[in-house]
Amino acid sequence: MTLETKPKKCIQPGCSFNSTGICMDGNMEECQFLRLVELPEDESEPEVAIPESTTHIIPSGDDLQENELSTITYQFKSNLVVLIGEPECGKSTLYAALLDRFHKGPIGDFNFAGCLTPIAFEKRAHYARLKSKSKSSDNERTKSFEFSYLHLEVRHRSLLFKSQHLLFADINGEKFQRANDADDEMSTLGILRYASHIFVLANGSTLLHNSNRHALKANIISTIERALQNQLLVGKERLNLVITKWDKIDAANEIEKINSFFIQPLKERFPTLFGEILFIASRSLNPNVKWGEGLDVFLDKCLSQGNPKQVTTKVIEEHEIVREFQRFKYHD
Amino acid sequence: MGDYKRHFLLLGLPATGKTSFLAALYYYLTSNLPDRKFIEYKKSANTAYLNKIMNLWSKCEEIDRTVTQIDSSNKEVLLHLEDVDTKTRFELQVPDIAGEHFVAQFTNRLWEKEYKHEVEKASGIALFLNPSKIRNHVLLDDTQIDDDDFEEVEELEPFKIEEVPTQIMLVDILNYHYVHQNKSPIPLSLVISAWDEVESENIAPLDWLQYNLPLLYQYLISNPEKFTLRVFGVSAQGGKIKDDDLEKERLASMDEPGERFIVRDGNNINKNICAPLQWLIAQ
Ligand SMILES: Nc1nc2c(ncn2[C@@H]2O[C@H](COP(=O)(O)OP(=O)(O)OP(=O)(O)O)[C@@H](O)[C@H]2O)c(=O)[nH]1
Ligand SMILES: Nc1nc2c(ncn2[C@@H]2O[C@H](COP(=O)(O)OP(=O)(O)OP(=O)(O)O)[C@@H](O)[C@H]2O)c(=O)[nH]1
Ligand SMILES: [Mg+2]
Ligand SMILES: [Mg+2]
Repeated sequence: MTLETKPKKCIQPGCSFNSTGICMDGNMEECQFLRLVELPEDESEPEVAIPESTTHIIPSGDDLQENELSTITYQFKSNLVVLIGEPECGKSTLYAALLDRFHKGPIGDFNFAGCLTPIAFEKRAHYARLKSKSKSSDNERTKSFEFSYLHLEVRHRSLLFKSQHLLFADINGEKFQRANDADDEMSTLGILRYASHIFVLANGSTLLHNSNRHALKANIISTIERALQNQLLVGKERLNLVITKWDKIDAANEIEKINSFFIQPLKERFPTLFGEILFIASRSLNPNVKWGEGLDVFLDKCLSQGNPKQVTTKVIEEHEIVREFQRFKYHD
Repeated sequence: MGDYKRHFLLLGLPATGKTSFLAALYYYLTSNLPDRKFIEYKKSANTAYLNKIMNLWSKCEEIDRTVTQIDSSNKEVLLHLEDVDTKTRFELQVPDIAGEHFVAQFTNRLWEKEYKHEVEKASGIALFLNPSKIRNHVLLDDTQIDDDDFEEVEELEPFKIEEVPTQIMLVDILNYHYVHQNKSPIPLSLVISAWDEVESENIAPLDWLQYNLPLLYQYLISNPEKFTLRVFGVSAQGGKIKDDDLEKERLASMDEPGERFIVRDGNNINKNICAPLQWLIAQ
């Protein structure tokens, strides 16, 4: 099998040709989905010798990287959701809990309709379950300093509407701490511009602790200010503020204190930025709070129309694929 | 009426009753049971495998787990059938593939090219589930340890992909079967096997699915453009033969082995073991 001198890209959803060089249809010569493309300069790909294979690769089901998103966005309009929050605030657990809820049944009026990253969800669920058992080990932390993405498809139970596709961005919380320190780092979070919905997460457990809560508040304020300064939130009507680990706040009966110490000052500082405040318990150590509380509101928000509305990858001409996410690389 | 080929896939994780069903089906087709819907109008070229599993089945002996390497005899399960009512003749191809094979598809993310070609030819899928072989989801919340308690506990167990819940695996397996075949929607006959163990709950199979595998249920009812679904409760054996000598004795001593069949379709209970395939053929 020979490679054309010009690189080819496959636009068939589900085909891993672009990463593996193996054509899903087994016949590169006749495959109607292979297109010649002009690759962006920074993306010149080494020529791969394509092995004759008796096997057919199916997508990994694991975390998607930015350059793999087009396998989904080519096919489906998707809402991109980003959670901003310091390490340990509960980002990965929230995603895991969302699938947990679907394991038990529909969330509100929505049924689970599919997931192309089941392994990514299951890994998070596994580590979120075990994490608290071993503080000494750090292999459970979200390791990546690049965003990775999870996919979920849901559908209104009436079936009157098509399925909706969600892409959830996850990253190690230290990335936000660094972004908080320097514009250079903040500008690498360019994906925020393309998020339909951004949620700022504040660790409810930290807010209960007198010694740490001041730093948390200061960090969240400065992260938002730096993001605004770097024009990452242009056009965003609203950010969503999420207080995580609601079970602990409820157990401590400290909601009033958190309101006056944290929520009100934040609203005053950014009067037009925040909409409704969400309280979420992805797990619960409190018999009065049901695990998963707040996730239905979270899902509703994710599914609502955001700005930008959705992300897609369009095939504009025969020979040119415009992969929106590729254009979103920020190296400047 | 000209012959035509119907190719169905039997999907199912290990020990979900695929081989037992096939054995029972072959008995049905070759027996003198009254009111049969289908008969074999011509012997298959190679019935060594079918005879072997049918003999074990009729004696209520445990059938060996199907080996991962598909040997040619069980791959070539090709039956020449005639619909008793319409006299339509067709060839039915239902390869018996080991459940391990489907687990490997999920964990290795690889399909044999040859298998892919089988899937492309499929005009329907029968998916098997065994109620007693379901790996349930452990909720996050089942861990009641506070992350603020600084405990030095044992090393974390690494994530094992083969240990994901049954529903997650099946949704993924179904998704890629849908993607690679050529019908939209594809008929999906969901067979809940060992129904004898569930029948006392007196529940319709679809409801059983909704209560016991809610994620899979949601997936299937949310995707009518991909799957046309019908759920059957099927007992091919009639009871539990493993570790239950009394029950085995009872079943083996029945005059007519076909009397062992239990099939539940909605609220209708009958002995038509071929119902899941009959429905697929009718689609
Ligand atoms: N009690 C309680 N614990 C929670 C909740 N959400 C998360 N946790 C725990 O908080 C810890 C941190 O959660 P993660 O989801 O890993 O946090 P993260 O934001 O992804 O952290 P990084 O990946 O390091 O940035 C884990 O031990 C979770 O079990 C909650 O709602 N209630
Ligand atoms: N109670 C009961 N058990 C059954 C029935 N049918 C099958 N079983 C049991 O389910 C187990 C698996 O049956 P098999 O038919 O070998 O399952 P399989 O799907 O072919 O398994 P693999 O070849 O490993 O993929 C055996 O222990 C059977 O005894 C049934 O109708 N009732
Ligand atoms: Mg994380
Ligand atoms: Mg078998």
